[in-house]
Amino acid sequence: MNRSLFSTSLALLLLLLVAVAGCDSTSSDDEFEVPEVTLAEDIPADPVTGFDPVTGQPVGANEYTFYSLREDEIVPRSDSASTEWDIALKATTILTNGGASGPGSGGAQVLEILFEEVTEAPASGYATDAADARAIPTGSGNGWYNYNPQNNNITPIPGRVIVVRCADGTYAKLRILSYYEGAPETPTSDDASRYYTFEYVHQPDGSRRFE
Amino acid sequence: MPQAFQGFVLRLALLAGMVLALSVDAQAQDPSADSTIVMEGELEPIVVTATKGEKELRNVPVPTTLITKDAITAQGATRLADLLAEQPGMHLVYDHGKGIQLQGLASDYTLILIDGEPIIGRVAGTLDLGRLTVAGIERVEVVRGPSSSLYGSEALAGVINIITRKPTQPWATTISSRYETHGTVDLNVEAETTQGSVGARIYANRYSSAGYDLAPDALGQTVPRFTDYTVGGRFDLDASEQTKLNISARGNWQDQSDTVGILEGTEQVPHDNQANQTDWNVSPSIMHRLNNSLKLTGTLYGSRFKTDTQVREPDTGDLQSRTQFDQYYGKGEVQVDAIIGTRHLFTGGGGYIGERVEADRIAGGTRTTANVFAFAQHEWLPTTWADLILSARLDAHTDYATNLSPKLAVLLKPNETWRVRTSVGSGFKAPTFQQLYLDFTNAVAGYSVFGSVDAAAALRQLEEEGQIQAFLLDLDTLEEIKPEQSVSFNVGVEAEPMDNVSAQVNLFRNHVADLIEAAPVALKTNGQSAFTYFNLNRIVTQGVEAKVSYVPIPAVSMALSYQYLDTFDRDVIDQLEAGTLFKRLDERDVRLSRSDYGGLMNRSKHSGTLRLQYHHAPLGFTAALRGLYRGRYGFGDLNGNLILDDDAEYVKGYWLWHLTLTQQIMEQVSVQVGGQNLLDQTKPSLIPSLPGRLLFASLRVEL
Repeated sequence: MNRSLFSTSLALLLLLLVAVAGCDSTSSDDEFEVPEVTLAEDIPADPVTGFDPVTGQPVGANEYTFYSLREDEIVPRSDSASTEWDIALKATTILTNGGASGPGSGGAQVLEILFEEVTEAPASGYATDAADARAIPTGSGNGWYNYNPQNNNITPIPGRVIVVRCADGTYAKLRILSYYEGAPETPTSDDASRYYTFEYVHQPDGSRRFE
Repeated sequence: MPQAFQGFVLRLALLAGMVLALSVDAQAQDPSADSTIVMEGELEPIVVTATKGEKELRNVPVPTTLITKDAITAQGATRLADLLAEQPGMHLVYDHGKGIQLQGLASDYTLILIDGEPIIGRVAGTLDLGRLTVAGIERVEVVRGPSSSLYGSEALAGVINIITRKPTQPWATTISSRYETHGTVDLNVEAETTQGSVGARIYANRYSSAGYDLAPDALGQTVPRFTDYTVGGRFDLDASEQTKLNISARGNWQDQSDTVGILEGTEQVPHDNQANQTDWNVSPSIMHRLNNSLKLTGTLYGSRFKTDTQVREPDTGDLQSRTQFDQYYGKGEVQVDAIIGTRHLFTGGGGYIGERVEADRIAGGTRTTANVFAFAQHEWLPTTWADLILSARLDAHTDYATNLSPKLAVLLKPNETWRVRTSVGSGFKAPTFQQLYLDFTNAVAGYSVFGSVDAAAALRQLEEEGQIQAFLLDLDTLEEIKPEQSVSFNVGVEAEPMDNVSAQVNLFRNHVADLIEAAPVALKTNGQSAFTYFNLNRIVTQGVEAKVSYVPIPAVSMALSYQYLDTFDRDVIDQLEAGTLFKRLDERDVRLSRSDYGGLMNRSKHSGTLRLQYHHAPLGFTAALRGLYRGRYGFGDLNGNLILDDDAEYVKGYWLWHLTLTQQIMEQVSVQVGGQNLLDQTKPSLIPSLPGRLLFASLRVEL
């Protein structure tokens, strides 16, 4: 108890110091630590394990992969009911840790903008997952991808940035690069799908600033 | 809907009254005031498509091209697709068959007629012009610009009307055979006779090919092996000076066999694919001239188009899958032509179209539709140098919104050298059977698509079955689907400064709105969407068509044509202006501007044709060299934004050169040799329909 009180006081003090420093400094940007861009490669999202003998439909294990944007790592499935994870991936569906999907305060919105131009997470406009509608809309052209019926390819839509409110209320901006293993430039039917490669910037300090 | 019909019946009655009034008026005219102003002479070629009546080509107020029998013979084409592919401003496009792109609009925006009646049987929007033989054809007329004011649906970019040959000889037979690369054989017999007031003409054609394979590694051939039969004929009876009867008929049968891969697990297993296609049409008509200024025509037209595709296991012959489509089309139409005084010509008419379609993926399996229509056209010649035509047509259909298509066309001819043609008109395209009645759920992916007529009911059914997670819009707000509609402008100048030079320039702009596309309407519990059809996009095609013909000496003729084309989707322009369209370049995203946008896919900004013909009369020798240029055009999206914006998304521009040499051996016998695509241009992955160099030889005997 005491220990936690102590650390909280210390944190508050530090915060105060930073705030004071911020106030009397004329170049606060110099002090601001710009979070780095992280690349997550080939995160499996329920990869295809076989085909339904009746429908021919590709099937997987029907399992989400849980990922922490704060810790840059996959979270074990056993922690699915916790606030350890921020996004969960299964095929083209992306969940956020909030609402109907998890106990966190997560949410998201998809912006039509360049990744570099998102210098700050929007103050409002976040949706949370409901049972019948995800914060990140599903379906071709609705959210982050287009489906091309000619070659069955799933292509991330250029100029789509997903701003994620993480389970702990911190913000991250995220851009999906590929849905295929090894992130091939032009995927073919030989490339395994349901493997995400994405880049993101997570701001751990609780502010909405990315730059 | 019944309301629309009631309104329509009222309008029909009004029109009938108007026709009656006019005909009475016409009868009251002095019969000696004949039609000399309308018909200036017999030597100029006569066309019928532009005004639904005979008119000199030079005096038609809308841009019209005539492909004569001689031109067809000199080119040596055997199928309509090959014939039209060489016409200025017309591009052969391949999508479930060979279609023609005209004025930058896709092939489903051009109406194809045979003797003025619509040919049915579009597959994925394409009416395969490869299934139409040129046997029995007298000429082909191409009218550019919308003609829905006379012909109804599909006539947005224009109308291609195939005119069959009338019997003129007491007795004549023509036999021809043609052999071409890929084992393509065309055999043809035509015979005609006239005995007094009776004339008959029949033809039979067999066309077969072993097909070809541009990608030997892939399963199946690029173009499969096929055999195609066509028989047709017409019977003409001049019952009296005033009354003429005609019956025309045509039948076509095509068998295609190929190997297709069926996905079993992750493996493509070869199967036999057998496709049969049948279509026929028959049309009796009667024309009666009441007096010099009043003519009545009645036409019945029936047609059927049927396809049956069977996929079988190669060893056991077990049926793996079968797809069938069967469409009947019936029409009755009456037309009145009245000359009023010396300066007015009225044409009016109306009719009924009944259709029945039976297909696997259609809700209920079988659907029937009815369409009543009425049209009126008034031509006014205020002076000797001006000709005004106003026309309009009303179409009321059981399953989509009623449509009115008006058109105004003006011809100015200040002297014999110049012709100025201006027209503004509207065209429409009815929703397809698929867009109206589809009931389809993809077994593999799990999504569903419903036609607009049944969408609400089908979705409520899914909801009752607990398959709907959420509706994306209120089902009560779903509106009756409208036909796709266009407004088009054509302004053209034709000049014949000298006897041996003629030039034509035509500027066109087509605005097409309410394009029908599928969009999601509900989210299913399996995570997939349910779609139905909506009137969504708006596109524009505009450009210039120019053509110059020159005959330096009587034995030589040259023609040069060029088309500039600019096309775009208005919603894409809106997104570009809002700065919400991007592309991915070296893994980074870049915002696109208006100048990055290449317009609609499959449209060449620049294209042209060159034609050189030499005819040595004493030796009976003719050589015809043609060059076709298609400038670069987009084939599809590669960088994820679904629009044409990257150099890698274009097919490079290319030339095709064709040569045909014809030698008359005796009066009755002629030999033809030639080559298509002499430089052997191929693009196997981008243009599989381009077969490479084809050489041919043919023999023709006239008895």
